[in-house]
Amino acid sequence: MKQVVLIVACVVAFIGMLVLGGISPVEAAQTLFTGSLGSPRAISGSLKETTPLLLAGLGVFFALRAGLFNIGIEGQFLLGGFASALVALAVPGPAGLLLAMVAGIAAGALWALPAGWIRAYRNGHEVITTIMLNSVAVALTDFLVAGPARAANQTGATTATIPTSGRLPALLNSPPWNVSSGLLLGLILCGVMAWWMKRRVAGYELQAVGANPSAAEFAGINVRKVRLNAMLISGAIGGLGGAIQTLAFEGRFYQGFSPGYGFDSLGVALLAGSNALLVVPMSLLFGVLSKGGTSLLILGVPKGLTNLVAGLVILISATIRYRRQAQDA
Amino acid sequence: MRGISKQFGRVQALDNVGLTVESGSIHGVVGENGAGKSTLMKVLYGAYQADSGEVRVNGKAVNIRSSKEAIALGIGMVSQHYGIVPELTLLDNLILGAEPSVVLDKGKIRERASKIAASIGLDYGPEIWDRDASAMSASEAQRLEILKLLWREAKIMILDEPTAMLSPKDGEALFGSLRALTKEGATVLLVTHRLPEIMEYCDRVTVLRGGKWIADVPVSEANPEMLSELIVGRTLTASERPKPIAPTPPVLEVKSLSVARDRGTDAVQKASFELSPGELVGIAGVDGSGQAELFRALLGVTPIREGEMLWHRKAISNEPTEKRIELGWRILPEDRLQEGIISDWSLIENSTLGLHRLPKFSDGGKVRVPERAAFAQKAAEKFGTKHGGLETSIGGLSGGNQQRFVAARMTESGPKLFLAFQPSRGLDIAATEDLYAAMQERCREGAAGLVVSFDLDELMAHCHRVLVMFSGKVVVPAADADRDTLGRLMVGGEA
Repeated sequence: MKQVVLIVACVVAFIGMLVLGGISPVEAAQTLFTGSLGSPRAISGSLKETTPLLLAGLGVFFALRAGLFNIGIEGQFLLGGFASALVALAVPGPAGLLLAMVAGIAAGALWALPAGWIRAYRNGHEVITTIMLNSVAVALTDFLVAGPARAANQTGATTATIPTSGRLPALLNSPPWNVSSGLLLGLILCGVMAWWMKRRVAGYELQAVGANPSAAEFAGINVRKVRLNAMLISGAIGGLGGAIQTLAFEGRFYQGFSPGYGFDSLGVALLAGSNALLVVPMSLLFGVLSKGGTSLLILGVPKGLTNLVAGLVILISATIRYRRQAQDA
Repeated sequence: MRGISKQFGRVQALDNVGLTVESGSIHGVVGENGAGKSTLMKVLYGAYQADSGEVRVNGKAVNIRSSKEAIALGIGMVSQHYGIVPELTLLDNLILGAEPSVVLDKGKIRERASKIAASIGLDYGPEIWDRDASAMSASEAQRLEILKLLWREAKIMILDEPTAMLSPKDGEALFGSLRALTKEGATVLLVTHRLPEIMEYCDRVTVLRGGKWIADVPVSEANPEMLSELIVGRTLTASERPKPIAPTPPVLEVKSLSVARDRGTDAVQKASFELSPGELVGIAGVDGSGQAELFRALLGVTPIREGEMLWHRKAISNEPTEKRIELGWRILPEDRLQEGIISDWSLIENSTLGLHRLPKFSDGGKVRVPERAAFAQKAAEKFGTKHGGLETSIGGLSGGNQQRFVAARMTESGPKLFLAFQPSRGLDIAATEDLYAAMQERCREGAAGLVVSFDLDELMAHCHRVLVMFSGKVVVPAADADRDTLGRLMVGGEA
């Protein structure tokens, strides 16, 4: 029910923005559709946009189930993407690919560690710390890729390009179709997470902490440890998302590597609510909007529109959440 | 009130109920949980709208749609949860929401406030009015709630279980105040579980059962046996008080245990006592004497400042809560919603909260789904939890039904030691008897039990012996101490 309200609000908001911008909604809808789902190429593009949203969304979702709002997913995504690029460039071939993925995961977890530790042991709010860490992550990767990590022959702030042998292979590559195996990894991860939440004692404990930390304490659950771990794993998944972005799509790391995937994924996770499997359709929705949004550029619609929609989703879902709390009180 | 009916979903909470209250009287309303007492009061107070029926106040038909309209008609309710802002002074709390003017003349307000306090026999000078509300005890908070209603010129006052948190002495003082009020023309509606209060202080009593009107009798013509039969609808056999059991080597030893508070004096001060296997021991005392902190420390949720605990002669103070649960310790926490359940979760998921790591419910980290469902079924059946399916969220159940379920989680999961805080909270007489019978059964099997209650009679009726907590200290009276002795200890007196 809550999800339906949110999705309707999401679509209405999107159309509303277009109308506000003085664009015919019918024409916009047509362009949006053609650009995102109208051809094999468009669908492939939408799935490409969906992949980082799915992974980052799963990261945010995981922390959210533990009662933590990991706004820092953008920073973890950036660090993961950056670290995996460095490793993939240093170690060639499939071994390098594997190491690069591990490096991305580790970098994401590391970037979430301060926020997790401060939340668990110093009770500092993760929203504040992760916003700060995002700023640091953007500045840090911008600096590194402009300086020490810049490719020798490049004028722009970018690393060298990873050779094809060190990249994630495509799942389906027969033009105009092109689907990366990164998407498959995301889908598998999603299935595993849904199962883990329902069937593993650790998943039960994680969600108990998220739903009622004091009851969790009475149930003998180590709330601090669960919070720290949840943040680390959330960051690790964000880092994996960044690594897949590098290894499957970009082939390098550069300034402006993420157009705000981390931010959009907050909307994805909030829309998914309590069901991990819903992260898939929600990230698809945002992926389609994002890809279709690119086509709307022709009509003069700026690319940042999906960010606006994600922001609205966050606002609306917060309203619903706090209204319920107000009623409970 | 005539022919009042109210339905919630498929549940008929009130079915054609009538209630006539004479002005200037104290009128009792009694019934089991779910009998409809609170719902009826909420209709009168404007919190609920009746589906049918009419309400007349002083002979005039009225339609009360909100508590604001109720107060305008002179009807006010003192709820079980006090609506007091701790950061404000008593005086500010008194007038909050009913300020006489935009610019406050504190002198004048204080004068009127003191006059109102005097009408219920309280001598409140300026120094009391300027205290922070956070420094108030439960009974003071309750009196302030009554004063708030008087400030709003309420003529009809509804009190829902007003003595639940009070010591016997404070309870008597409260009824003294209420008596004084009725002499001045106020009317009191008293919702209570406690028959002695009805017998001693009420003029008339209305009995409800299952949402239906059962009887309305003058108290002068009633007796407790007759009332409890009307309430339950069957004859109750009072259980006999268990005799203290012969001392055996203790299973739990608590030695000069102190628990710190955020600030100020220790919440628990050098508590020392022992439990023998098979013993059901009560802890009497008024609310806030340190019982909650003692339980939290025993379970390991709150750290202890000094002292130690031994379980089977082994120190356990440094073991985490998880380990204590593994050893067979179970708790029925003080605050069910905050500490005992997860409202959004199903009964099945809640059934193993705290037990989820036991081998019975966890197969090397994998949830044993069928065992969990079977246990939830058993726990729901034990005390007759009424629910709309084990898959539905526990938050949708009434407080009494949640309590039945959580209590069964404690008694039916093989406890070696159980800590029950106010186990009868929200339970009717029959369910309370069932729960104590189950706890006694566990004790006969060798478990030890510790029960906190603010109701001394309840403890004396069911426990082998009764300890007393007062102001953070645990007093261990003689095993055969009588009611008067225990009552004195509860308020800091000498044995």
